[in-house]
Amino acid sequence: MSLLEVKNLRVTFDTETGKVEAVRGVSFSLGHERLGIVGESGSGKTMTGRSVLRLIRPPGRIEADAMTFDGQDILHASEREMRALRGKRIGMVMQDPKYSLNPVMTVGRQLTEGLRLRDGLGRADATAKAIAALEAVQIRDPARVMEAYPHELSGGMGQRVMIAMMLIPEPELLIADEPTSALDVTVQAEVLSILDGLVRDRGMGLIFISHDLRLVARFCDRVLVMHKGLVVEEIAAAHLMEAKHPYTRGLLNCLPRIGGPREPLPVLDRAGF
Amino acid sequence: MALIEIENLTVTFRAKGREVQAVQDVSLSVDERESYGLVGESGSGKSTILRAICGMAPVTGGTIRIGGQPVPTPRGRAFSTEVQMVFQDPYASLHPRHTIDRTLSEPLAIHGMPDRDARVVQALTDVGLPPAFRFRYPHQLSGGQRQRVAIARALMLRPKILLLDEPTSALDASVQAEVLNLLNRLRAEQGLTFLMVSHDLAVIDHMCDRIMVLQHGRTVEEITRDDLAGARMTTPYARSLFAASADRMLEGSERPAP
Repeated sequence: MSLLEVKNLRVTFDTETGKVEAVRGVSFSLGHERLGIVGESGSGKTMTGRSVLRLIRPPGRIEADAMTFDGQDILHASEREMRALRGKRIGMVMQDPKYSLNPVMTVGRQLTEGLRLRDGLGRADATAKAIAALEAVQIRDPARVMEAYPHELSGGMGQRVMIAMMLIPEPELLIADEPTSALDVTVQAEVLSILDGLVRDRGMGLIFISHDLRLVARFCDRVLVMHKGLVVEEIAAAHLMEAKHPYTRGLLNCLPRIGGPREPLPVLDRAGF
Repeated sequence: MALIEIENLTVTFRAKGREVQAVQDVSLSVDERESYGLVGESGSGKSTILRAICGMAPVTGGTIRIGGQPVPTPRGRAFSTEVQMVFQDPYASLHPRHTIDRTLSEPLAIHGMPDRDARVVQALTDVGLPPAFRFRYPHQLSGGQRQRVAIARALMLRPKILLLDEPTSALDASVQAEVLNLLNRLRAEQGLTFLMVSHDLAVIDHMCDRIMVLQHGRTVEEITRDDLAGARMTTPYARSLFAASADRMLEGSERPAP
């Protein structure tokens, strides 16, 4: 049985000027694998990720024919049941550590907060576990980082702290929303290999949301390409170069390449779809 | 003679008794109509070099010459008709409460230039925007449209040199392609010289003839486009940047074994 099943998901925002449909009928199922969701700004990829945790505030509405996680109906679950899932069984890594970490709490306090409240651990045990989590994401000096405030960390360190925080409860599914787009390429490669190792070692499911088609293709097993709230193509990452849909092809072709021709880059013809 | 000559540039920021050398002893020269790229990671000093040219960073050593003349401090009006800059974030670099018309005509007013109306319309047409956009505000435009306005603004005084600070890193891939094409077309049409900064080696490679790799404020390596394409870099750091970037390409690269 698959870990996550989503059927005909729709996210609608009721605004003064009428309904805006951010997601218009997305279906997918996920096992213990790495699923990539790619699309440009406004394609609905982030909304799809947030819907799984029901993290969409009014006036946004989530509708679906079915949405189940490990056999449990998450479409009709109570808020109490959702809270038991969030973080513990389904984790989420947000895009920007600058906005997603609490700026007035030390990293150590943020990391141990959940352990002490949720798992009822004592201070010493919680600290030990938090340090272990920082080591797992290859932070070299965890004791110093525990004492630091988020603004004292670089972007790459902050991102790793967020990943560590999400991994402490050992979730079965991790939703990573542009986890590396604020990072330099060499740091990006490091963070990805950390995520990759964790998926492999813990048998975690991963939804990797990104605007970068090449990155997703390299890192995931399967890719959903989204455009205007719809999945336009679903394809195995290894076969991405053989993508059929004109939108996917357009996205692939408009990227410059090292050593590529000096001609104008092919531009996406938006009128086509 | 090179149009832009920078010799042993050093930039030092001082704050709370601490000194940070953001740029150390960097030299480069860019010929007229050439396109020169600066590439490096966050904190490598690449943007600081552009800001130093414009007089927006504390230069503590070295010289900057434009067309053989050392740049004056403060930079003054003559400098702004020669050198203009396009910034990274089109959401932050346009005045939110000025119409596009006001943003574009301000440099003309400062420099006392005639035919403002015609020039604004021409500038919008040059960057591929309909003239009716004059009366809009930045929040009524998409990111790509705003960056086009920022480019139009930089070109209002017909400068010879355009300093481009990550002009497409805030844009979607398809919009990035449009803006890069626009920049290349304008460079050919107006005979511009580009000094461009990016963290994306593929973008720099597409746009530039020669490339300087920077790390921690120092020059690591200067490399031509052909040598980059042929992976003929000589330093390990330049190679690691290339590898991290080439990794992301689909052709000719192996997926890491699962």
